[in-house]
Amino acid sequence: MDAEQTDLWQRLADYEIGPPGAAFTFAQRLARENRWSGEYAARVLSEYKRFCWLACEAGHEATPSDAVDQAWHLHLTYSRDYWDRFCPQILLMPLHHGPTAGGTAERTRYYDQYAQTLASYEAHFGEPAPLDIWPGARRRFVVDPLNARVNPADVLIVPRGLAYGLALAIAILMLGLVALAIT
Amino acid sequence: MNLGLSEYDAGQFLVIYSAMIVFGWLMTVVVPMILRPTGEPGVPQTVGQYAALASGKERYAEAVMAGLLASGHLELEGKTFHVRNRDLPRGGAETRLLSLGDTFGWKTFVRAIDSGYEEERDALRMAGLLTGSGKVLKARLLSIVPMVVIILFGLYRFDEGKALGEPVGVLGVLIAVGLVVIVWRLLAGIRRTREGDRAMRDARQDHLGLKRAPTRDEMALGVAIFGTAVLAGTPFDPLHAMRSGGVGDSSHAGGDGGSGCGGGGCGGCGG
Repeated sequence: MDAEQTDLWQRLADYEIGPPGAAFTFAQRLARENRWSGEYAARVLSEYKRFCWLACEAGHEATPSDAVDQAWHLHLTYSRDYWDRFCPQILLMPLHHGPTAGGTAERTRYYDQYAQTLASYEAHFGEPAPLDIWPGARRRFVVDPLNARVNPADVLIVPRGLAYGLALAIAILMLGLVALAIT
Repeated sequence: MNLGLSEYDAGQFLVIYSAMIVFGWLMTVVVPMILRPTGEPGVPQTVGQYAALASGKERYAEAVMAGLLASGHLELEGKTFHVRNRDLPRGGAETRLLSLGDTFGWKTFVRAIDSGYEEERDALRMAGLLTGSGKVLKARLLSIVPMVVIILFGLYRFDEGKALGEPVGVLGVLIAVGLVVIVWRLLAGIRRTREGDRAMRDARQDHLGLKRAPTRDEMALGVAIFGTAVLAGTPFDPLHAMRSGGVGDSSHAGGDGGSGCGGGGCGGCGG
């Protein structure tokens, strides 16, 4: 089935989350809460709609990437929009969000669903899911779960590459000073 | 015989000789590429053949094991494999393996599938994708000729340097490096024909998606083509950790089994 030829996809593509004409749009909030660029947040929103199509039509439970899941989480907080408009008028069915119950069996189940979701994505949308939004298994199930809520007013955030570079530069400087002191 | 090498001091000679060693190494790589057999156009017919073509017996064993784990026939606990389901519809290596016993280790497993690997390897040779054992001897020998000459040249300068009382330790190390390259070339052999290389390049390109998140049915093929690295982050990460000597990534996910959310499929709940 070509997803983009379906009525469901037409409704999803036309749908705007949140109140019409809002000064601060859903996509802008998604970008701000995740420190994403506006362009990336817009792409994630588009992928969220594709995920919703798959969750309704793929014939198996679907598991999103972490980025798409952030869009889903945020949409769920717009509860009137999600439950009163989106599900009954666009999806024509309830789409519940189910977090893991933990444990090896659950991890295996969600991995299998994620792999199936990627396979169904390619089958129905005619192209592989974009790698920067739908990453590989290691990123999805090992690295992304390390994400944490951090307030930049409380902590200093330094990219790892920059931190390692600074540490190396300081070590070289210290060695140079020691060498000078010895000679 | 005087080659006039004493005109260069030790430092100058070492720079020249280092460049010669690099040249000799390049020849051991380039000459087999030029002289290797063309083979016949073709495509591996089984997962086992992909593994045998990609990297030989160890890869074949890893691919078969990944398939057995993904299909639920085996489970890995620590470094021991446990048989969970003996119901295998196909014959071949897997059936022989499951006749071993309820538990076994990696080495036992590899021994059990030895004949299965040989069948796949021989099929690839017949198809013209792998070279025969004796067919590339000439290419191997020719590829080491420049390095042999360079080493003999180095030994001559080594003796001359010693006679002049110059330090020759670094030169000795460079000669040893050259010998290691020769031994590597003779032992490593030349496995794939040109067509075998092409088939492998095509396979990597055609199945690029398997590197991201293979389904259970795709797990063995993913390992066959790309190695156990495709298992990182999957439920079969412990096999990758065992084979790569690491601790695996599953430990990073924490005791709760990591993260996941899902939904859909008849409107049911994802978790």
